[in-house]
Amino acid sequence: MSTTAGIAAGIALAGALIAAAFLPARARGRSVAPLEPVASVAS
Amino acid sequence: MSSPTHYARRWQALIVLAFSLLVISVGNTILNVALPTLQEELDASSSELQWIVDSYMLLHAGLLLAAGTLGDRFGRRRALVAGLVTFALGSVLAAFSGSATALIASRALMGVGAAGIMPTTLSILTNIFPPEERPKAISIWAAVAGLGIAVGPITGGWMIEHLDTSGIFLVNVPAVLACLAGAALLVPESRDPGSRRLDLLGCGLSVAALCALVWGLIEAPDRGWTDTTILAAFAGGAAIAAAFIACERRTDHPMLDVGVFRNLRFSAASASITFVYFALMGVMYFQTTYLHSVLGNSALHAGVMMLPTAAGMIVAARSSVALTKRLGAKLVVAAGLATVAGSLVMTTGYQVDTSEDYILLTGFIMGGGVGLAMAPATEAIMGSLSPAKAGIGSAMNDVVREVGGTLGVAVLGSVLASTYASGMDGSVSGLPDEAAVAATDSVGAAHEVAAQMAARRTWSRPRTTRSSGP
Repeated sequence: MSTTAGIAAGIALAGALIAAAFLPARARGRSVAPLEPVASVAS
Repeated sequence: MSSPTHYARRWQALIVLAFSLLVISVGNTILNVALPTLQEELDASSSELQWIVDSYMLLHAGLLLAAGTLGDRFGRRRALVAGLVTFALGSVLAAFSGSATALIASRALMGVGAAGIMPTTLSILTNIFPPEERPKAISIWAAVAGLGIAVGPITGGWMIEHLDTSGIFLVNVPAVLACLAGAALLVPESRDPGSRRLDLLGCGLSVAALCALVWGLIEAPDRGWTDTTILAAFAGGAAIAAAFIACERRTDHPMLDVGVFRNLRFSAASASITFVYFALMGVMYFQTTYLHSVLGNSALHAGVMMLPTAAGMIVAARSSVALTKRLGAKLVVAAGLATVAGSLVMTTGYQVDTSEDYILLTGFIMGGGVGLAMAPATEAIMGSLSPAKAGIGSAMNDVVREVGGTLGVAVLGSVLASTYASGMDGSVSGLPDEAAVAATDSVGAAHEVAAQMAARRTWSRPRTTRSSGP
């Protein structure tokens, strides 16, 4: 079981590195695409 | 009802969307604890038992992209309602299934319904909340998804102990009826205003590619990763996926603009979600086995042991909004995944005598890491696309979750099975061949072998005594 959990830990760490390397630093909970919520709702 | 009224009721609508998501999340996790009972009641083989779980997963994952694009084209609330009705119908048929085959077909129908529900909950959310409120709404959506991890096994465990097995399926019906009523009253209809012709070829290719790849992932642990059929499924799935990409690049009305993968925010967020679900679902799979077979917990107790994981997800998902505003998605998602990795390192210390407190703490930290990463990563995906494409964006978010989770169970399940089998080799040498094979298959089977041998010994002793008497 320790081997399996170790592999899973490695995968999660790889995900952390990808996020740290490629996610933009300034995407602070703000959407890139402008959105008018009411206007985009039909009927 | 006018749009401003819908906008004013957006938080109530979120409850309907989150509850719809919870219904399918629980619908899946509730089954795990009932599998041993279903195996006895339906006299199902282990292969049939696996397909009771997998038929749902295959149809669900296979139809996600098509369902998302159909929602964008014909109306997301309509897709949600169709999904809910299909899910309820599948649940009723599952409850009254008299055979394993009937249950497999009913579960497949439930998977079709879930494919309609899952992407539409997030795409509707994206359309009814303004950008500044969306991270908070997505964090609630993500937290509710996590709640199913604990609610399903606890409800299922309680029902198995106190009611009938059919209850685990019939419980979906009143829940779906409540969602349908809420959707009719509170959820506005929305669709892609620029939607032109339906990309039928793209839909068909996406379904075929996802089904082939997910089928390969499901069957690989049993048939072997180098089995010809498995390799053919992966090669076929990859070839169809390549055809899908070529088709989407060429058509003037693509269901998925594949150029979006050049957007690093979208691709990195998708990869993060894939990795987090790979680790989470893979570990949940072997943690369930550990709690049941190694520690000997009941189904209900095992469900209760999952509560801290769900609690960690909920707490962290709520905190992720404020943290993302202060630190940015990059740091928060990376910190979340690093926390998951840390909790998994703690998991490597699990032994037969590990204290419950240690397991609960590990679960809480793991849930905290997942909750921290999920909401900002999901928001990053949804924010990379225009709201008009929310359905297909949401479907992509779901696809990477499903593929990551399925891959996690398949790969980590295979690793666990092979390390367990090699570790048991020396311990079963004195057993009859059949018992040795069974004992090296799984911990549960080893328990059965041990129990049978113990029973045989207590049965044989009196006979020996009697025969050796006067």
